[in-house]
Amino acid sequence: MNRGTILLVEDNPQDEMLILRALKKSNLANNVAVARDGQQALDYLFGEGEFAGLAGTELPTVVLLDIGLPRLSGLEVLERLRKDPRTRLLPIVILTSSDEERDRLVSYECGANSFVRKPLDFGEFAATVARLGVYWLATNEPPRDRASR
Amino acid sequence: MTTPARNRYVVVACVSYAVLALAWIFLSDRLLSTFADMESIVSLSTAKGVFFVCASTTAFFFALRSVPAADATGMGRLMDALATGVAPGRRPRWLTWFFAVTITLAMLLVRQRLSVGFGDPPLLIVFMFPIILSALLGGLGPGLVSTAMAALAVDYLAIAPQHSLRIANSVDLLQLAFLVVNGVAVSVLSEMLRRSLIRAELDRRLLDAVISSTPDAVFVKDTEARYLLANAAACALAGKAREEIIGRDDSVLFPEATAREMMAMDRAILATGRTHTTEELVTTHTGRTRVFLGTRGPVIGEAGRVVGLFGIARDITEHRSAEAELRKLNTGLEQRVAERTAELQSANTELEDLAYALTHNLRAPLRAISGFSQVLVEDHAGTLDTEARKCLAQITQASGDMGELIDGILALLRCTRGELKRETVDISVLAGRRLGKLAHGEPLRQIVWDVEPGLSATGDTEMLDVVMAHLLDNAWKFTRGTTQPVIRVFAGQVDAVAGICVSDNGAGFDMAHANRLFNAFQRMHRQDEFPGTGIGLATVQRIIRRHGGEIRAEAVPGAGATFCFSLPAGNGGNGGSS
Repeated sequence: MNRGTILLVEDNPQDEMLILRALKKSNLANNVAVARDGQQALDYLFGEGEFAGLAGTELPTVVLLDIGLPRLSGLEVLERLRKDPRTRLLPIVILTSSDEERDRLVSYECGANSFVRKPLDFGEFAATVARLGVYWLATNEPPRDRASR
Repeated sequence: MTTPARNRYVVVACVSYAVLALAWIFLSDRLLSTFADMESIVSLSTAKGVFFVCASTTAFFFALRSVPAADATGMGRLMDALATGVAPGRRPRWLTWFFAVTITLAMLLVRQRLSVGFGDPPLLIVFMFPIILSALLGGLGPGLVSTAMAALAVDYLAIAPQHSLRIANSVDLLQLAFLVVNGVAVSVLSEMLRRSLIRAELDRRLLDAVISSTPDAVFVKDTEARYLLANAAACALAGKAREEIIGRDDSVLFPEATAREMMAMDRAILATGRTHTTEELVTTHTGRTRVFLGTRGPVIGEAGRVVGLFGIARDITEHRSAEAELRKLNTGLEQRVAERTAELQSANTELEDLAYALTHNLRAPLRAISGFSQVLVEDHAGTLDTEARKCLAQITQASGDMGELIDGILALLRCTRGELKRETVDISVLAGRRLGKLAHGEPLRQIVWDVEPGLSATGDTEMLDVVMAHLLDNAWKFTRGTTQPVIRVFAGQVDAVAGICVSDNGAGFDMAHANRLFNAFQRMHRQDEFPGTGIGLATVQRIIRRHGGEIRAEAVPGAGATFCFSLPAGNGGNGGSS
């Protein structure tokens, strides 16, 4: 089964470790790339800058995007991705600790496919991340078979 | 001010009287002397006396009629007192006495000379002249002195037996009595006249003093709206001398528009005969526009006819501008208060935002602490001894508690943020749903609940849901040790306002600590009895207060607690930060 790949955009190394661990438990850890700020995420997705070598290759199946990111915020990244024809339909899940109603609304307005709050409880958190990975890689049908950069 | 008409009347009456009386004196005795027989002389002399009394009485009647009647009120007496002390232009008292004595003596001298020519009749009538003059000038006292002097002197010098006060002839006695009666009457009448004149003069001067010294413009006009009287303030207002004003109307005193308005008002007063007070804009001769508070009214003459109008106008321009200034200040003050309030609100909002962000940012490290403890337990349990596992369990427990605290604080802060919607909320439905959820979570607990149907309130559905959730969760929690727990939701009262109550028969609490019940982090029970964060009731109170309502608690330790809250139907509380 081609499980596809996940781009995790997360600046908090502890959250990153916990997310990766949860994905590993679902045997999804090998399919995960990590960007640690908004600019890096864009570079990765558009095959630019340090990721110039990726140009023309396949896009990840889903992006797990945090909102509070250094340099470019998650919402700015989302906006940029939706403007570009290559990433216009790319499934993007906002995974954040924000519970501001405004963030949720703006996320959906900017074209996020899903909005998930990071649960405070670790058990719940791990379960949520695992469910997300399985859902977007296995259950969900992506808009294109082979979206590329 | 003009001399009153009655003074002229008095002068005319007195002069006429003096001329007639003197003429009579010189003619009557000469006429009498033409009669030879004694009988005729006596009867004619009597008639002459009666005639004289009648004439002088008539003259006095006319003179006095034009003088205001003396009144016996307190005011009248006060006026008398003032008249004797203050009345202007009074001659020194001793001078009038001196005058009375001198003129009487002079007349006595004249009479003695005349008697040489006329033979020996008493010729008493000549003495009326000094008596009247003395009485007119000095009043009662000098009049009586003159009368007494004349009577005694004539008796002593002219009436037989001479050089004695005895009177032999009854005709002489009669004549002397007439003289005395006449003299006393003249003195009394003169005194009355004098007092009346003094009082009238005083009245006039008082009125004049008031009118001329008031800063208000006072004027009187005739039926053609021409000025009859204008005080100093009125003259200053018109910018003209009094002579230029009296007899003219407003058209020559004020600019055209102002004059037209003023004369229109005058005509209205003259036509209706009613007093009217109004604010007038008057453009003065200098071209400045002033605001006046003017009262105009009719001057009522005899038979109730309107014979003119009076007016009193006060310049209230300064008042008005002061009022305007005050209003401006007030407006400024209100604006400053509004600005400060806005600043305060903004500062408050900033602070709450900071608290919110701070609390929120505690979540990530907390998740890491609990997460990595969990990882240790799950992945490395084999390499940890019992003590280490116990410590990890404590870390997990503590981070769980802290997580609850953080969520509680966030909920507390959230309930003052965002818009407060006002909709009709079915509290019964909210309560039923929450209790159902609680029962679902703990199916083994046998709790009887009784929710009165149809309870509704006006407010924000989400927030009221939070309120009911906290209250019912508490009721659920604190009935844990009760054998037959009952939770009731019913309509009640808070400070005489209709409200909604939630009661239980659980652990209750000591009312001595009730004042701190709604403080954040304030707990009534030990953590090992009933765990909790102490934020729930603080949140509830914040929500109720934000709605403009009030919440009260009643409890008995071991017997349960009742919480009642009210929500105003209209626009109650403030909007909080948004």
